[in-house]
Amino acid sequence: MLLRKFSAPKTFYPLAGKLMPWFFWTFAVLGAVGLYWGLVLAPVDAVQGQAYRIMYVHVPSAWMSMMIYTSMTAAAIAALIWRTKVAELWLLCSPALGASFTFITLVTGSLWGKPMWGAYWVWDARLTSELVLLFIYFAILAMKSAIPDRRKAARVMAMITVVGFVNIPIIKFSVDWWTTLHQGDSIFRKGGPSIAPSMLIPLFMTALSFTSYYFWLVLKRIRTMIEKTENERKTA
Amino acid sequence: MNNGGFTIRRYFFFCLRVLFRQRRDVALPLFFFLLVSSLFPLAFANHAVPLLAPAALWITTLLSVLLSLGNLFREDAEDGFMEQLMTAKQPLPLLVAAKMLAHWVAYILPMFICLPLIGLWYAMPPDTLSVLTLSLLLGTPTLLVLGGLAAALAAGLKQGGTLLILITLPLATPILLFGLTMVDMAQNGLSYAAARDFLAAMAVVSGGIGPMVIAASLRIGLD
Repeated sequence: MLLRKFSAPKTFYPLAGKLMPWFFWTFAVLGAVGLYWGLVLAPVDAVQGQAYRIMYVHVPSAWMSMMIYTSMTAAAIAALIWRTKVAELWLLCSPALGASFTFITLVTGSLWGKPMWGAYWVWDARLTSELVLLFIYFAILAMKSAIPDRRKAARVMAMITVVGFVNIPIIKFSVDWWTTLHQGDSIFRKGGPSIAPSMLIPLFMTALSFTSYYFWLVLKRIRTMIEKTENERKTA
Repeated sequence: MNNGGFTIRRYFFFCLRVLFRQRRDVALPLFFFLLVSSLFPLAFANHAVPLLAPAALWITTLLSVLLSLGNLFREDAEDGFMEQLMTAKQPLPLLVAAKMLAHWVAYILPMFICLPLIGLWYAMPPDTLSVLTLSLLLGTPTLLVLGGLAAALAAGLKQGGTLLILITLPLATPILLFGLTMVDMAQNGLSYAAARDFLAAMAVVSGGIGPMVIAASLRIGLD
């Protein structure tokens, strides 16, 4: 019941407005501290040297690329079953952000790959499935721009999102299922993380900062869209 | 039997009849399939042909299937027949299944009939050709369902054909990869059971839930 109440644009709008500053300041403060800690203060890696520092952008972006898709899938299910308006808006506002994070993941990954692996790109399972994720985001965005009616666009996007979700576990577990050039999990793994705390804490900071950035922006975009719809209704 | 005028089986034969009366439209994807298949051996260096043939053939098939799906629902959507089907007594998923099956018979079966000829062009050993044929037989149902889903969502749109390709290709990538893994394993004398079973499982799943998902997508796409 509570969820239903907050899923109406009328109640969601002020709620989002109240949450936005929290997300913004978490993003700004943790981003600044985490990046300074990670890029400047954290010790140099014994094997990878300075190059490992790109992970403070690469890893959180990769998490975001999957997290955004997963949140979109949840929204897609709500949009398809209950036609929840806020879920539809969530779906309309998220894919561009998801695609951006996926793009950043791929670019930072290849920049790191050149000195470490000797190649900007290899067709390894992790890299390929992440690239496929980018293409799925593009397909969803293409549908969004092709359909003028927003509510219909959202439901079409929802359908593609749900079907494309199969790719998410493939990305997550690609390093376990196949022998990949991409290294395995070093954080969420059996026996605890294999990274020293002095390197891990700033990583969590940037991860939380990126997550807050996404929530801040997605709420901002949803609010803008609600305002737009209101204005259209008033002028119509 | 009065089922509001028609049975699912009659609808299937009706779809086939419609497709065979549009022989030219049905022939185009097949012609595309043959044309592109002939381009690869011309473009590849001679020694590379046997190595790349399975991949070339899989990609050609994938693109031909997508090309054929461009008009899967478009005409029915344009002339209002789809609305009739949606309000018919028969469940829409079964009608969709019948239509997809007719589509497979009219568009994709001829491609399989041409495979021996293409095997000849690619100088493919019979063993490889048979495994490749099996991989395509198991893979095309899933491709058809993924493409059908995209076709249903894009049915009411102007740029439907392009969008269909854009949506289906990333989703179809795993099928392509498993199909080629199967051929690759067989060529190296290894057991290809795992990839074969995966493709078969996907075919069963998409055959089972595909028509329902496509029916739901049609209701969204033509909303």
